[in-house]
This record gives sequence, C-alpha cells and structure tokens, in this order.
Amino acid sequence: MKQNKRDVQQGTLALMVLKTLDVLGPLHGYGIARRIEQISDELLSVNQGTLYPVLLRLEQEGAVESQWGPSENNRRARFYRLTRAGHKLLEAEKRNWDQTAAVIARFYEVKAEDLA
Amino acid sequence: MTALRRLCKRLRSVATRRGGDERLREEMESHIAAQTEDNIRSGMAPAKAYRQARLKFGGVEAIREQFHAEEGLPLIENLLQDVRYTLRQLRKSLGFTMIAVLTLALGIGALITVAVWTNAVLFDPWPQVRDVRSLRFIDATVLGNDGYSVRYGQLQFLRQHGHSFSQSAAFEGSDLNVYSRNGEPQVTHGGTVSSNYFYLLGVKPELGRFFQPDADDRVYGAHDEVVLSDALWRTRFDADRNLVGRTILINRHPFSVIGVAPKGFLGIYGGLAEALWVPLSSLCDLSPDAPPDPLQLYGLEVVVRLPSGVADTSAAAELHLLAQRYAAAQHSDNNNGWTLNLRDSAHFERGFFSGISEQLPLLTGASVLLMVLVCLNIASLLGQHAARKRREVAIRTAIGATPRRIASQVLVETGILAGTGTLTGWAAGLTLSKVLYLLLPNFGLTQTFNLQNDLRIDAFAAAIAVGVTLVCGLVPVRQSLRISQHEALHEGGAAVAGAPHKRTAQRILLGLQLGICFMVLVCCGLLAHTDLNICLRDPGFDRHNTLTASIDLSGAGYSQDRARVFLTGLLDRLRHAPGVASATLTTHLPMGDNGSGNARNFSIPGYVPAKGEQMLVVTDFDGPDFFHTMGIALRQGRDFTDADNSISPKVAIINEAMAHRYWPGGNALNSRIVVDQVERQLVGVVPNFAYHTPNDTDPSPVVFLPYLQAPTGYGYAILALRSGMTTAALTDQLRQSVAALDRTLPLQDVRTLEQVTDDQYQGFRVPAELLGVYALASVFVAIMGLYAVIAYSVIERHREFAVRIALGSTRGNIFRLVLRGTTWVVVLGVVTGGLGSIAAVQLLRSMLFGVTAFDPASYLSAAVCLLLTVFLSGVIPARRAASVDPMQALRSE
Repeated sequence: MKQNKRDVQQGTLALMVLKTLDVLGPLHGYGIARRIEQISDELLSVNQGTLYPVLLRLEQEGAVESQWGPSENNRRARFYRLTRAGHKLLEAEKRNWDQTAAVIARFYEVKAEDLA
Repeated sequence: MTALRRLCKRLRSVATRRGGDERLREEMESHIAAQTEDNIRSGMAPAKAYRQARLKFGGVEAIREQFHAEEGLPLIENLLQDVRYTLRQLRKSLGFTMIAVLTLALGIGALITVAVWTNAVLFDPWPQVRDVRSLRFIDATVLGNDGYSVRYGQLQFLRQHGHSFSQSAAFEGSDLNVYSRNGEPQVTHGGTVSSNYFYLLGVKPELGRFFQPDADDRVYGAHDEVVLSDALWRTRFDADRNLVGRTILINRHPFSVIGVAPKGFLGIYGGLAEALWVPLSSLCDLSPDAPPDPLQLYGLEVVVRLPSGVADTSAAAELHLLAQRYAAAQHSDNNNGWTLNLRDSAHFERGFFSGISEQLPLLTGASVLLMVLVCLNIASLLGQHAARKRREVAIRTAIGATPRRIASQVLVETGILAGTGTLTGWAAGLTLSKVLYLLLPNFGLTQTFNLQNDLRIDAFAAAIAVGVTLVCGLVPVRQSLRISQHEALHEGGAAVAGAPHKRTAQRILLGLQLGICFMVLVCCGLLAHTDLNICLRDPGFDRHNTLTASIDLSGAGYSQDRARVFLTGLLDRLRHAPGVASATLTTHLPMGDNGSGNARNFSIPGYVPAKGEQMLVVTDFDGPDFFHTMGIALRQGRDFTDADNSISPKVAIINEAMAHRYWPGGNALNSRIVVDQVERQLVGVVPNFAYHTPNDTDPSPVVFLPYLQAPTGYGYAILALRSGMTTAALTDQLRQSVAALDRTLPLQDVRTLEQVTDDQYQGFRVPAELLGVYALASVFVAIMGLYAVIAYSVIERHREFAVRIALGSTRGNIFRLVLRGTTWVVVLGVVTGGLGSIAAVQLLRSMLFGVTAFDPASYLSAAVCLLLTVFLSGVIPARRAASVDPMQALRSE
C-alpha cells in the first residue's frame, strides 16, 4: 500500500515537473519546487527533496536534460530543460490524464436512472 | 524504449559505481540556501530561516536513499555487495572453501563425464551427419539371438514395401589393403557402403564428390570408386588436392578417388573409425574369389531415416510385420524365428556403442548417488558454517538486516561455492571422459567417439549449479533465519556443552552420507568379487606363451588354391623355426574376436531330431596341432595332424557339450557326423573351454573341422604359435617366415594370446574398476564431510572438554568420548546403506558371476571400510580434543 501511494504521488509529481518546465522553460530544482508549491498549494509544501529522485528518473528516461549554470543570485545550480522526448511524454501524459479525468467525471455525474 | 534506456543508464551507473552523490549534495545545498534566502527576505531570523528551509526540504538521508535507489539498481547492488562480502569470507575460511569446492567438483565431474559419454553414444555420436536423432538401425533376430546382419535382398524388400522410412542405406566394415603411391600396402579399416550412404547421412564432401546416390549396388564393377577420410587423405596421401580423379590400389585393384569426407566424419560404425569407403558394387573386385553375386550372401548393417512424425513404436511394428511377410514369402525353414528390430545409435549392436550404453545405467546410478552424497555433505558443511556465523547474523539482524537480505547472502555464498565447484567439475569431467577412453577394450581397432563439449552439456552443468545452490542452500538459510538473537549474543556465558539439540539434523545428514557410501562399497565389493571369480576361473586353455597374427590372403590377390599352398608352406616353415614349439592355423581363437559362430547344418546318423529342433552347430576350422598349441588336452582321441588334408578321410573333433548332448552314452569317439552334407568320423573329444567370454558357464556344442579339409576359406587365416621361450622372440621369427614366402604380404593383429583374451577380461574389469573409482570418491567425500563436522564440534566443545579434564577425566576418556559421538551416525549409515543396497543389488544381479547378491564377504568388507572411514575422519579431531589444555581453554573466555 505504502509503495502504491508513493507511485501515484511520483507519477503526478513527474507530470507537474514536466508541465512546469514546459511553461516556464529551463529551471533549477528549487524553482520547480516553488512553482509546484504555488500552483498545487498542498503537494510539496513539505518534503520538497522528493523532487530530486523524480528529476533523476525523468533524466534517465530522457524526458529532461540538465546542466550546471548560475542561478538568479549567482549561486551554482543545476538547470533542467524539457527535451523533445519530454514534450512527447507530456502530451501523452496529458491525454491520458484528460481521459481518466473525463471518465471519472462521468462516473460522478451519473445518476441512478441513467443506469436503469 | 524509455524503460530500456533507463535500465541501461542504471546498469552503467552500477557498473561504473560513479555515484551522483556529489551532484545531489550540491543541488540540495543550493536548494536549501535559496529557500533560506527567500525565508530571510520574507522576514525570518537567519537561524529560523535555515531551520524552516531544512524542514521544508524533508529528510536529507531519506532523499539520498531514494535518489540512489532511482539511480542504480538496488537489487544488483545488494547482490554485488553480497558477492564481495562472501568472497572475502570464503577467502578467510579457506579450508572450508577448498573442501566444499573439491567435493562438489568431484560429484559434478563424475556427472559431467557420464553426460559426455551419453551424449557421445546417444545424442550426438557422429559430427557432420545431418539430424542424427532421426537415424535408426535395423538388425535381425534369429531364434531369439539378437544382432544378426540383414541381407541385401531383405533390405530391397523393406525398401519396396515399407512406408515408415524415408531412406535406407547399407554398410559394413571391412579391412582393406590400401597401397600408398610408393606401392606400400597397409591394412586399413574402411567401409563398404551402398551408393546412397553419404546422401542419406547428409554429409557434404570436403573435396570432390561422393557416390551417385541412385547407382545400382548390384551392377558389380561399374563404379570402382573410393572416398577417403580426411585423416587418411592427410596421413597417407599428404593432403594432395590433385588426388581426386587419380587411381589408387585397394586389395591390388585400381579404384578411382572421387572425394574426401569432411574432417571428423569417420563412419557410423558405433565408435569404430573407418578411414575410407568403397561402394558395395565393388565387392567383386575386392577379392578374387568373391562369389558372382556377393550381396546375395553377405550380411550388411542397415541404417534408415525416420521421417519426422513417425514414432519409433509404429516404425518397429511395421518392421515386424514386414519381417513376417518376408519370412512367409521365402517358403524355407531358414526364416523360422526370424524377425527384424529397430535400434537407435545407443543400441546398435555393432561397434562399441551398445557395450557402453550397457554400462551407462550403472555409471549414471553411481554418479547420481555420488552427487547425492556430495549434496548431503555440502548441506551439512554449510549448516555447520552457518552455525559458526550465528553471532554475526544475530548482529546483522539486530542492526536492521531483513530476513531477505540474510537469506540472499547465504544463497549467494552457496551459489558461489556451487558455481566454482561446477566449473572445476565441468573442466575435470571433460578431461576425465577422454581419459576413460583408454580404459575401453579396443580389440586392436581405432576408436572414435565424439567426446566434445556442447551446449547440452553446458546447460546440464548450469542446471546442476542452480540445483545444488537451491537444494544445499536451504539448510543454511533455514538455520540462519531461525537464529535467536538473544541466544546467539549471550552464548559465551552459559552453555558449556554446546547445544546438542541442533545436531540431530546434522547426524541424519551424516548418517545418510555413510549409507550411500555403504551402498557403493557393497556394489563395488560384489563386482570386485565377480571380477576375481572370472579372472581366477580356468578358461580351459593356456593363454600364455602363444603368439597370434592374421593374414588376409584374398585381400592380397591370392586365389583359394594358391592360398592353401601358401598356408601349408608357411606352417611347415614355422614349425621348424627355432623357438617354436608348435604352430597352427584357425578360423577362431578361443575368446578371440574374429570369425566365430559360423553355424552349419549337421545331422547324426541314427539321431532323430525333435520336432522344430534346429540342427545347426557352431563350427571352426583348425589346423594341425591346434589343441596342442592352445594347451588343451583331449579327453579322448587325437589332435588334428598334417595327414588330415583334402585327400584323406574326412574327420572332426567335438567338444564335451556336443558329446554329452548327442552321445550321452559316452560312445562319441569313432561315431559319424554329417556337417554340410559331408560325412565325417569323430576322431577326438575335447573338454569345454571358454569359447567366447571368460564367464561362459553354459558351453554350447562346437564341432572342430580340419583346416585343410575346408572347401574354401583359405583367403583369411589366423596363425598361432606356441613358444618354448618368450613370445617376443617369436614375432621376428614369424615376420621373417612370412616375408620369405611373400615380401609384400602384410601381417595383421600381431598379438599374444594373452593380449587377445585380455580384451575379453577387460570387458568384465571395467565395471568393477569404474565402481572402484566411485567407491574411493564416495569414501573420500564422506571422510571430508565427517572430518569437518567432528572437527567443528570439537572446537565448539573445547570448554566442555577442558571442564571434564579439570574434573579428572583422562585424555583417553575424552578421545573415546569424541569417537563415541559418531556411533549413532555409523548405525544410521549401516541401516540406511543396508536397505539401499538391497535395492541397488537387484540392478546389479545380471552382472554378477559366482557371487550371490547377498555375498557376506562384500557386505562385511563394506562395513569394515565404513568403520575405518569413520575412525580415520574422527581420529585427528579426537586427538585434538584430548590435548585440550584446561587452564588455557577456561581462561580464554
């Protein structure tokens, strides 16, 4: 059970990372964490570190690339950038998500007489 | 795709062991610093800002763990860690490692050896031959006796009416006199084969071509062509590529060389190497006195190919039906009780394969037993090893190792031992199987076995390694997982006498080991006893001081008449040569491998055969002084002499078996017998002697006829000389005498009678010898296992011994105490071994001679051996126990 929960979270987290990079362009880990925190409010207000294993995984899958660069306040930071494969992955994930969401939505809207 | 790419990256990260730890640390620092700055900007005090940033980031260690888990492959990394750890440990306990690996190598080596041999006779006997598994052989049974050849006419009948075989070919081995280009003849073993032989086997020529597959075998002389083996082509003809198309002399007749067979192809005659092949249609040209249609008379071996989808049983059933139809169509008594059988390569009666496959069950059984013994031994060694590591495992568990990690480490340890043992055993087995070759009786012929390693054997070895790991690993895994931390960590204090309840399992394992050992020893004892009985049995003739040789006169171009003159002259010359006590000719030497069993029709005036009684008897032709030369004293009458020749009255000598059967009144001498329509007078009766094999206890009737009264058969003769001195000096004498009459005539099979008969004895010695090797091996394994266990228990109990000595026990008492600990093991061993032997002996029964299956001597000596084994393995640890210094032992804790 515990394992499953983490998987779901990591899956959604990965999607958020990809979308953030898609919208904002190359960003370092802290930047990504802040954006996700701002938008999602709840998720990632604690345990921001879990972002890094997700980033590593995405990098291994070829969805993002990373390189060292100077941050806004001239600190050395690692910048992540979406690759072409990452764009495709995002598209696919989004479609998936939309489908799932639509199906779930329909189930919520369904009434007893519809099923009769 | 992405999953694969990710796996590659993770594997690379594991392989290079280049952690991204540095990168992660830097990223985390940068993250926290940025967060801290933001916190300060929003008004927090620096210390609080930093603290909040850390809190928000989460547990650094947990993140690192997670990061590493994503980065590499934790499963493989753990495994590698276990491997490194295990290797370090095994290096530290070198004695244990060596014993375990050697024991395993011994067991696995034996199994691999048997596997290589099974492969060589059953699965892959003939390299270069296409789809060996679909080849079958056909032989005939006559009156319940197997292994008869098939005639060409019978083969033609099968070809016309059979549906189960896609193709069939005939072949027979033959000694051919091959002349190299400088004119020197050499007797070479070759094959006479039907024209479609190579086509059926699917062999591709290395050079030139093979026989036209559709040529008629019965158009004699139309295709006097020869195919050479690669080896013969290289050794005798210098690998001359221009030889194809040229002519060479075989049996003084020109044959045109049409091709060279690929390297490694040496015929399919059950492990007997053939060096060249001539077509059946050349039979008339191989011998000047061949009958006009030799294929009508000669026996042949038949090979067929079963099409895929045809089962052996249905093919065999069709073959039996065809045989019945054929026999019925002949309208002759000759085919009474005649049928045809289908054989696979391992049961093809010619050559060595069937002889070897007879031994294979015994060897397989012994090897499997040995392997079981080895596994028991390894399991008990590993169990003991695990017991020694109790404290370590307890500590590992205490600081958080999961049972899975503990079990995986133990399995890795077992796996490494099993892997190393298997590799060693595999290499040893491959070598050993070739050495075993030399143990075979060779009958003076070149053997060829495909003793190569192949994928099947590799897979078998790998399967053994995995099997051993799982089977033997269970004991230590179970033991490690059941260790109670409390007990293990507090051991030092309380226990003085160890923990006896833990030894029950070990005792059972040891007892079973001794039981198997006992079984092998009993079987070995029975076979050794058998062997002794056979060797000590009087064969009925004198094997010593006799030289034998054979000459092939028809192969050298002699006609029957010239050959008879030559042989008479040669005998005369030999008899007067210095050092020769007597000289003779024969068609069959006692216990020889050549020319025996020529059954002829006979009748006895006044004797009325019972209905269905076959009036057939084995006959040999023997020269003057034959029985004198063989050291056989006649019971009645006289030996053959020079005077028994073609113009003198026809005579015969019979053996006692014949005399008792047909002249029970003892009045055989001077009676008359008709053999092949020729009436003869009986001039002598000889005692029964070992005719074929040294364990011949049921002698068949034999009639001996004078060589010089034979109508034909002078083309091939066996010479025998009895010497007054050593046989070595006779060899030169024989060569000179032959050369004086014909300089170019090759002398074949020059061997003493002892060498000829030794081959027969060897056939009986081999199983006993092989089982002896197994017995030694199992005793060795048992000693190692017992020693290791007793030695460890002595170390474990040294404080107990110290206390006993301190309390007044003598050193002798301690010594006996240790040895007495093995009593139960021995009792268990003898009981299980005794029960096992009862089963094992049933399988051996047919191999025994003059020994009952429950031979007390064998059982008793096995028991004594077992006791000695236990004593030997216990004596060193027991002495060590007796020499414990109480002061030192008690102070050391």
